Amino acid sequence: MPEDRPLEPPAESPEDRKSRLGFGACHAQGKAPVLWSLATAGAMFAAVLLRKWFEWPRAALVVLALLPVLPLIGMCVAMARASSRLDELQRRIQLEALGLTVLVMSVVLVSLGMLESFGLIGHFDPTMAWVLMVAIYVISFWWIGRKYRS
Amino acid sequence: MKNRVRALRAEHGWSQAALAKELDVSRQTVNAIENGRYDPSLPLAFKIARIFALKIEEIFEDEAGSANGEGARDA
Repeated sequence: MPEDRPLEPPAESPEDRKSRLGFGACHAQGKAPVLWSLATAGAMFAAVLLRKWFEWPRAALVVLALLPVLPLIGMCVAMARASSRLDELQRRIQLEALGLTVLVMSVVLVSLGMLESFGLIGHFDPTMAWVLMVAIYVISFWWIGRKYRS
Repeated sequence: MKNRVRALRAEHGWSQAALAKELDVSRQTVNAIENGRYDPSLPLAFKIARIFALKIEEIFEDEAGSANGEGARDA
């Protein structure tokens, strides 16, 4: 690009505007996976509470137990869509965050598993491992992203 | 790796956002490159060079290489 032709500030396209203001805003800003994660956590707690409060026939219990799987699938799709839009630095941050999450989760799960098998703590609900994993991933992503910010 | 991206961008009067849009990356990535916190991939470095109509080595400088070069000249 020649020097005598400075780059004009990019005009906002209809797609940009829709992405900024419309229903695609969450996806564009990478917030959709977080929102789906929160929906999954909410569905998990709601399912547990509904099971306690009401009597359910067996078939309905199956549906209730698998209720959080729907937003979880939504989270997976949102993660895949968000990942495809990341640039090379954001992908690097994501990869480092995933790696750190795996390492931390390994330590946490082995520790909890051993403590439980020795009878030192009560039963550890495996679904809580997912909540813990998402929380560790979000913190890792923020913490690793910090080193690339000024 | 040192680079002249910030100076070149300022010379052209471009914002980080405008350069990011041209490079198809986030503004955070442009900022990280300018601050030397992130070394871009070779394809992105070529893209930056093309936008400023310069060679890659006129924008990016290998600090280790230049330090060795100075050492060799001093010797």
